Amino acid sequence: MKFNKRPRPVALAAALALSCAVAGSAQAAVTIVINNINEAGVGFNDPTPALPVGGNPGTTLGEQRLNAFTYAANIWGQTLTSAVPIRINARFSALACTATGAVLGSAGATQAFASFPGAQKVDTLYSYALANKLYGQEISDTPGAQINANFNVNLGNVGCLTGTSFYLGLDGNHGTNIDFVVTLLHEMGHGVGFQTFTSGLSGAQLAGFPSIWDHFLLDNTTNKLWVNMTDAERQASALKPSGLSWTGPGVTAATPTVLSPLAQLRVLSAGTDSLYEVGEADFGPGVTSESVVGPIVPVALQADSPGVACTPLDAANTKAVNGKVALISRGACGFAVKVKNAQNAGAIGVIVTDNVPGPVAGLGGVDATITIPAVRVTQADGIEITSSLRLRNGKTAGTVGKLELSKTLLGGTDAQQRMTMFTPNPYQSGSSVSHYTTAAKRNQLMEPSISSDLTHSVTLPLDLTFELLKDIGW
Amino acid sequence: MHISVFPIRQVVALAALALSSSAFAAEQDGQTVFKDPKTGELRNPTAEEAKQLNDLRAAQRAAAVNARKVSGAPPANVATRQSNGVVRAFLDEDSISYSVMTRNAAGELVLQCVTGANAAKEAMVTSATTESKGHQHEVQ
Repeated sequence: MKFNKRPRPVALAAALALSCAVAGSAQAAVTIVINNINEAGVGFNDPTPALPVGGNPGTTLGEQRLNAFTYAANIWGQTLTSAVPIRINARFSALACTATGAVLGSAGATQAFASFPGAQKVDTLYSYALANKLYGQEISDTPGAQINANFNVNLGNVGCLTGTSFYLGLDGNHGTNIDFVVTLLHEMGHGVGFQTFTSGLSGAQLAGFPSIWDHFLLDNTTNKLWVNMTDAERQASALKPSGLSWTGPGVTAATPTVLSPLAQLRVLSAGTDSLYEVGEADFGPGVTSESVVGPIVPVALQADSPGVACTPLDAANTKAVNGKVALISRGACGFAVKVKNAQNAGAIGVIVTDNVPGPVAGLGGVDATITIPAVRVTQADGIEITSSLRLRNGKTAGTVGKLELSKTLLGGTDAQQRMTMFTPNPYQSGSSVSHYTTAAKRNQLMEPSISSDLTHSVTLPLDLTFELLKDIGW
Repeated sequence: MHISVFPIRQVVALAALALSSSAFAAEQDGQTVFKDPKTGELRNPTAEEAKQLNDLRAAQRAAAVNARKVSGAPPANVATRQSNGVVRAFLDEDSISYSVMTRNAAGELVLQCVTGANAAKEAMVTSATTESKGHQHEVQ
C-alpha cells in the first residue's frame, strides 16, 4: 500500500461510501464498505453511457463498475463473519500496460498485526481485516481502510491490452473479455488474508514475525512447518513442486469434495501390479471413471516416419495395436499426431513414454477428433513398462495396461489429500507459495493463473478459498 | 516480502543492456540471466551488467522509501508496538497482489496473480512467453 497516494481531501469529499450489506436479501455476515475514492468523472464515476449487461443494470460505465465491485464484495460479505466492518478503498486509475499486457488491478491489506488478544497464534502476523475480526474491535491506533484496491481505467483502450476489456456483467458470461467479478474475488481474497507475508524468495519473515499462514505450510518432504524453519529451509521448500502442503483441517477435509481424482496407469504383468504416475492430455476424452483396459503393445518405428507413430501406422503396427493400448515413444512429431495415428489404427488408449529424463508432464496439443484417452509417463517408467512386455525367454508377457482414476490421490493434493501450494522451480516472484497449486483438478479461484471456467463461488463444493480462510481464523 | 534484501539471482533484463529507469528485472532463484535485446537470447550478464541491475533495483527501492517518507507515511514493513501492546506493521506495495494479463505468442490471454509492484511489471513481459493453464504442456 502506498500511503502517499491517500485520497486528497477534495477526493475524499467526493467519495461515496456504499454498504454492501444492503444489496440483495441475503444477510451479510460482515459489512463491507466500499470507499469510492475516484474523483468526479473518473473510474467509478465515469459518466460514459453504457447498456445494461449480464444482470448489471448500470447505465453508465462508472455505475456498472461500482455494481460489479459491490456484487463481488457482497459475495465476500455474505461469506465472512466479523463484528468489525471491512473497509475497502477502491478506485480506477491508469496502471501499467502495453498493447499486449496490462496490470488489471491490485489489492492488498494495508496493515498487519501480531500479539493481540483473540489471536490463535502468539507473535504471529494477521492481515488487518482478520485481526479486527479476532480482536473484536478496531485494532489499529491508526485506523484506516483494511484493503486498498486499484483497477486499470484504460484496459481495452488502444495500447492497453487493446480490445480486451473488463466484462462488467454479473452472470459470468465474459466471453473473450475478463470477468471483473472473478478478478475482484481473487484480489479481495488476498486482501482478507489469503497470503503469507513471509518471503518465499529469501525465506525471511516480515519484521521478524511469522505469518499465520506459516503455521499451516508444511514441507511434505521434511515434515517441517514453515514457522519452525530457518530462512534457508523456507527458501528451499518454496522450490519443491508439490512439496509444500496446506495442513489446515478445513481445507484438508474438503479436498475430496472439491477436487477430482488423479489419473494413473496400472500395469499388470507376470503376477505384478504396478501403479505409475501419468500426465494427462489436453486433447481427447481424458481418463474417466470408466477405465480403459487392454494389452499394452509397443508401436514400432516405421521407415516412412521420422519418429514413432508420426505417420499412419502400417499394416504390422495396425494389426498389433488394434483393440489394444499403444505404447509410443515421444519425439519427432506432436503428441496429438501420434495419438490420432494410433486411434486410426484401432488403439483404445495410448501411453506416451518420454524420451528425456524429468518429472512427469502432460501431453499438450489440440485435436478435437481424438476420442481415446492418452497419458504420458516418464522416461524411467517407460523403460520399466517396456521391459515388462516380454518375459526373460523373449515371449510376450501379456502385460495389461489400465488407464484409471486413483481412488486415493486427488489432483492438486499430496498423498494425504492435503492441498499443495504453487511452488514452481525456479521461484516465481510474487506468485509462489501464496496461491494454490495449478495442478488442482477443478480450477480454483486462488490459483496464480485465473482460469476462464471459474465461477463466482468462494465456498464448497466448488472452491477451497473460504476453507483456507477459516483455517487461519475467519 | 522483499524489503530488506535484494538478492539479485536470476535476472531477466527486459530492456536494453544499457539500463534505463524503465528497465526492470526479475528476482528468481539461480543465477543472473539477461535477455540480450539484440539477439533475444538469454545469457549470463557480465559483472558490470549485474551491478547495474542491482544498483537500479536499489535506487528504485530507495526512491520508494523516500517517497513514503516525504509523504509523511509511516515506514512500511517495520514492526512497532502500539499503546495497546499490539504489534503493528504497515504494509507497502510489496504486499499488494496484482492481476496481470498478457497475450502470449499463441494469442492466448494469460492471467497471472503476483505479489509486489516489481513482480507485476515483470509479469507483464515474462508471461508473454508462457501458456495458459490447460495448455501448459509441451505439444511434442
